[in-house]
Order: sequence, then structure tokens, then C-alpha cells
Amino acid sequence: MKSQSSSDALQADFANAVDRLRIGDRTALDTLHRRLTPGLCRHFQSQLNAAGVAGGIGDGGDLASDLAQRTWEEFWRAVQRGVYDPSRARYSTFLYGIAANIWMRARRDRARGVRMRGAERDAQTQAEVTADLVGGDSMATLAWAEAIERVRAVIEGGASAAFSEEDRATLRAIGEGASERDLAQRMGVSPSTAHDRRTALLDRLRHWLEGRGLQFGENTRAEVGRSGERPSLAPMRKDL
Amino acid sequence: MNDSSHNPRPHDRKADEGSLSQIEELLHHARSASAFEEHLSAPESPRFVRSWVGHAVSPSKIESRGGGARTVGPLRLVLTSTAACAAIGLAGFYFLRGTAINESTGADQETVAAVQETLEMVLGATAEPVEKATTSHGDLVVAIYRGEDSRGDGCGECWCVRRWSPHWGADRNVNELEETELVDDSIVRSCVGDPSRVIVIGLSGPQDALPKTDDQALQLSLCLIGQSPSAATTCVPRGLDYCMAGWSR
Repeated sequence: MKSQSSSDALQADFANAVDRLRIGDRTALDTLHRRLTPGLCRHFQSQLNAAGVAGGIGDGGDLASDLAQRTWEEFWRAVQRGVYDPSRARYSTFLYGIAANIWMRARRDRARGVRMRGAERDAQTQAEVTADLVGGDSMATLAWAEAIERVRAVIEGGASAAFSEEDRATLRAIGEGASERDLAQRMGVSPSTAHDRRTALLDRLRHWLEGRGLQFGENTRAEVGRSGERPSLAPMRKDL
Repeated sequence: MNDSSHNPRPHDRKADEGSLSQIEELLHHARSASAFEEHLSAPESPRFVRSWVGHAVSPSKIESRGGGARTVGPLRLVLTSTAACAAIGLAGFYFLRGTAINESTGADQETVAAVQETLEMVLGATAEPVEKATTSHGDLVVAIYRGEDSRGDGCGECWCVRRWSPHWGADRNVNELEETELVDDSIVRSCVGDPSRVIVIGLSGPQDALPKTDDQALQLSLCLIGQSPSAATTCVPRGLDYCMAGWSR
């Protein structure tokens, strides 16, 4: 697990860049952008590799770079509009939420047969992308990021005594895609018992999150958000 | 597990399953967000640890050139090339052997430190621009990636090669790049899960002398990695400037 000090340092760098940006110092933004863009590209490159979209020479790189740039644009737009609230989610988690949305849009575009790069794609999808980036969507992304942040706090051990270390380990395993058979082996119980425990634990986490103002839709997907906010547009899929 | 008592009514079960599915997705994203944070921090972690530059002519033929171009003297080239040879040879050995330099034992860490120290010395001595080719100039970057493990992350044989024409602009050649410029592009073009494990070779010079195929580029790269600098000039077609660089955490 990533060390807390390293994470804190990253958040401090974000906060410093935002503070300096607010007083008109764009060099801070440029510096942070230059420093973090390779990491953002690596994130998207990993996604592309996992999705088998590596393509020919340069394809994956161009696309990863393009997606990273889009993520930055939306992130800074949200920050400048005052949408982002650091008390609800870490900068990095908010950026992750945006990156996940950007990735989903790219997947959606690809599924529609839109070319993933080049002028043709740009012309066809720019209006759609822009529409997605404005208005309440950033708020919805923030709500989603907040939910992720809460769950991160639980599984990283910084949130609540309501969850034991064993609970957290199980939740981490579930987040990593462990099957019930995997969980059964881990727990040393039968698969049916593992199923029951898994369900109970997820339900307990849901109640814990609901007790902190987060809501979950019953019949629709991806309705994670605070009361009064628009449902998140972020389709929370595991197959990103 | 201290709570297994929740037992929803039948008509609530479907709704509960839906929301529990969302919780499961949130868990997945929480884990991904942690990994994402590590990705973000990674650029500070991989360090530019090795670079050497050269010009593919025989050392004995290197001499001062007119037009204000800076040159490398023969003795200096030989001395620095020898140091570079040791460092790059060792680095290349570890790279091709597949040993994670950053995950090594204490003894290996010492070796890496020694390599870095040598390279820093070499960098200071050799990172001088060499005169540009004057006709039909071209640039080419070849990157050799090695996957973290046998899965290879899209790299069928655990390692793979990328080749591209860079856009360094302003008629610069490979020996005029900033410190990490050569390897920056390699991050986004990676064909493996951990692009920090890469050796990048940049080439500048007459278009006709640049490798035309992936195989030619690979052969040249492997030759460069495995040879001493003096022998390396035999790997590179005459007239090409070259630079080898890499990341390591």
C-alpha cells in the first residue's frame, strides 16, 4: 500500500498549485502538469493495454496522451469553477474520478465505432465531450469521488473502527476482484459461507456509507451521490 | 466477520443486490484510485539514470570541426566511453537478464549506485552536442521494454520494441535534448505494464542511415546495449548521432 506521507505530499503539491493558480500564477499549473502527466499517461496506457487497444506503433501512446490531456482540462476547469471541494475527496481521487469518466467516454466512443484518434474523431466527439464536461457533471463526479474516498478510507484503515482489519482485508480482496471461491480459501470456510459473509460485509459498508450522507440507487446503476445532487454520470463498471 | 445477520426481505433482495453491486464497484474503484495515485507519483520515482551519447565515426577520426560546432576530443571520448561502457554494459545486462534493478538486494543496490555514479561522471563529460548532419536529416527513437513478469502485459514475449519518429523540433538532433526528453515519450508509448523498465535509443543523422525496419532497429539497439562504446561505433551506421537512456526507480 502506498505510504501515507507520499500521498500527503502529492495532495500538498496539488493544493499548492491550486493556491498559486488562484493568485494568477500559471507556472505552478504548468509545473504540476508536467510532473504528473506521465503518470496520467501511464494510467491510461495500462487501461489501454488491459483493453487490448495497444494498436500499432504510436497508437496507444497517442491515445493515452490524448485522454490524459482531456482529463487535465476537465480537472482544472472544475477547480477553477470552484466545483472541487478538498474536504470531500482528495485531489488525486477527484482526478481519478474524472479520468475514469474520460475513459468510459472513450470506451463508449469506441463501441460506437468512432475512430479513437485523429481529426475525424475529434470533430465527431468534441461536442459530446464538451457537453459532458460542463454543468453539473463535475459535481456528480465529485460526489462519486467522495464515495470512492470514503471507501478508500475504510479499506486503507483510516476511517472507522466499525471495520476490523480482517474486514478491510476482505474488502480489499473484493475490490481486487476476488471470487467467492478465493474468499472462501482466504477465510478457510465453505463457498456458501464466504458468500454470506461477503454479502453481509458489503451490506454493512453500504449502511456505513449511507450513514454519512451517500445514497445508492436501488434499481438504477451509478446513482451514487449526496441528497439533492444529480446522480453521477459515471458508469461504475469493473471492466474499465 | 462480525455482522452476518442482515437478511433482506424477498422483495428487497433485488434492490439490495443492485446496491451491493454498486458497493462492489466502489471497492474496485477505491483500489484503482490507490493504484492511480501511485501512477501519479511515479514520475518522480523513476529516475533518469543512464545516458550516453556518441557520434558514429571512428574515434581516431574525430576532430575539431568548423562553424562553431563543439566537438569531443579523441582521448576524452575514449576515457569517457570506457566508463560509459562499463555502466551501460552492466545496466544492459541487468535489463536483458530481467532483473529489476530497483528491487534488487543490497549488493545490487550498491552496484546500481556505482553505475549511477559512473554515469553521472560520464554524463558530465560527454553530454555535449555533436555537430548535426547537414543533409537529409532524420530522427528515430527505438525503445526496448521489458515486462514485469512472464505475463508481459501485452508484450507476448515479456519484452517488446517500439520505434517512432520523434518531433523534437527546431532542427534539434538527439544530442541536443534535455535530460529526460528522450525517455519522456517512451512512457506513453509503452507496450508493457511498467514502462519505467525501458532502454531508449535515439538516433539522428542522415535519413538513409537510419534503420528502416523494427528488426534493423532492434539489432542496432541490442548491439549498442551489448557492446563497449568503442565497439558501439560499429553498431551504428556512419554519420549517425546516438543517445541511449533509460528509467529506473
